Amino acid sequence: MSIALGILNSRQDADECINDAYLKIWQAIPPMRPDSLKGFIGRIVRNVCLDRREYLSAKKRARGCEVPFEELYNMLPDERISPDVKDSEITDALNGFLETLEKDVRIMFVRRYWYLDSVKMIASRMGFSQSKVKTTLFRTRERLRKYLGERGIDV
Amino acid sequence: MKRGRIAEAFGQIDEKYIEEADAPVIRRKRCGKALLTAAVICLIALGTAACAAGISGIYRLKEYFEATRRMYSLPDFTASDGYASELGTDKVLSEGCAEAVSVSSDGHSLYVMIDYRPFEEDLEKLPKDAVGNFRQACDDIGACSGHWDTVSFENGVYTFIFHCLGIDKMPEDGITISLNGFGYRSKDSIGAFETLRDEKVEVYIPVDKLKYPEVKNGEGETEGVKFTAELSPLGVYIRMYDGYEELIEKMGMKFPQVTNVQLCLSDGTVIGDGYDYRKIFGLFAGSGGWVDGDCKCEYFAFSVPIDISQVDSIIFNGEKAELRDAG
Repeated sequence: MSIALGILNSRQDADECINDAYLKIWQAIPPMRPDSLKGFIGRIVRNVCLDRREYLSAKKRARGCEVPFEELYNMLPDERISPDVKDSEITDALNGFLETLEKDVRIMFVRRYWYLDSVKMIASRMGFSQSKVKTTLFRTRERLRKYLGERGIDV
Repeated sequence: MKRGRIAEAFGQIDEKYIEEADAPVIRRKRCGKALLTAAVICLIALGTAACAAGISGIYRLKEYFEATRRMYSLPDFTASDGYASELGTDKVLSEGCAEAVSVSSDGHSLYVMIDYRPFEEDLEKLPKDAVGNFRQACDDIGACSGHWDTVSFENGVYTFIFHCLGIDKMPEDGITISLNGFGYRSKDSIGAFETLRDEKVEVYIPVDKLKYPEVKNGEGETEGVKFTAELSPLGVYIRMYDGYEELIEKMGMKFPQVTNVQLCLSDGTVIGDGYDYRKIFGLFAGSGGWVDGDCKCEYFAFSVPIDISQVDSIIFNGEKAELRDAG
């Protein structure tokens, strides 16, 4: 639910998406044995909610908050930048980058861009000030930009 | 909406990072020897105050159910009251010892809250921020596994929740829960459990200490098969009579699922119907079944106790069974 609320900022939309996600999970689970059930379910919820968010944005009905990963938009916005780099290579690079981070920073980064938590939520969860969270996220984005550049991914 | 390729790639990151970021934050506090005496005095004072205030294993089980209820946003008719029995003693646990502090059961499902004080040397070996746990927890009555997890770590004592369900008959003496291999789940490779101590720790639950809650009963017929339903705060127990094999085959399943059960509340709400169908998944913690003579029995356990006074009837496989208080 927290993922859904983070993306949609509306209890009603989040409820409907969770409903859809439950159905998808129900349909997907029998043939699949996910390594991590939590991760598997979270991924489905996240995708359903992002699709809903996209639909609502198109209809200009999206409510309120910016989706956190819009902060990442200026890095590789679309296929025109680094067209030769495959999506799977970007994912591998991202996994490699996450491995290099200190645990607290990594958790903060994943909470922001996977769970799509607000800065306030991250600060409260981890016991840091909001300004520390903002600064750390900013610096980590810059580190990511540098990391990708060093691996030939032009951002 | 602007997503971008990095954001898309974020959706595919390794699940170990997703799990890591969602792990509960357990604060481990350690004090030096100089502070130990003062800490012990404080703990004794706190313990005395807690006992005086009536804070007990029952309270902690209730807290666990309340946290679960909030986490899954369960419907309003769930009750955090654990219908629990107190089992713990006032003794301070020695290193390597465990005890059941409270238990909640209706005869077919069993929730047990267990305290365990690890050896100090094991705690020293535990990586920073790792959550201590046992590799395996099992009972000696052959029940289906429900849930096993670390709940908290306070003052050198881990508290775990153990749940088993689908118990056909309670033993006459007691139930032994075996906790095997204290250790922790490694963050480096998903699924790998690092055992710090192989010794088995056993916890005994004397059955005569259990207080079973009030239940409601009903009966009905579906597809020509008679069934009885028993509702307790902890679960729904269905007994199917002659012809149950054909009934289950018609359901298209190997055994009845939670989706075959709906709860009708006094205010007209039907949990498990239409928009509310998802609530049934959160409400149930699992199911277990067995054959008793000519009957097929299936038990559906709730993840938190419910207030049965608000449930008027049960729908099983589309057929309603009105409930009345068991005499």
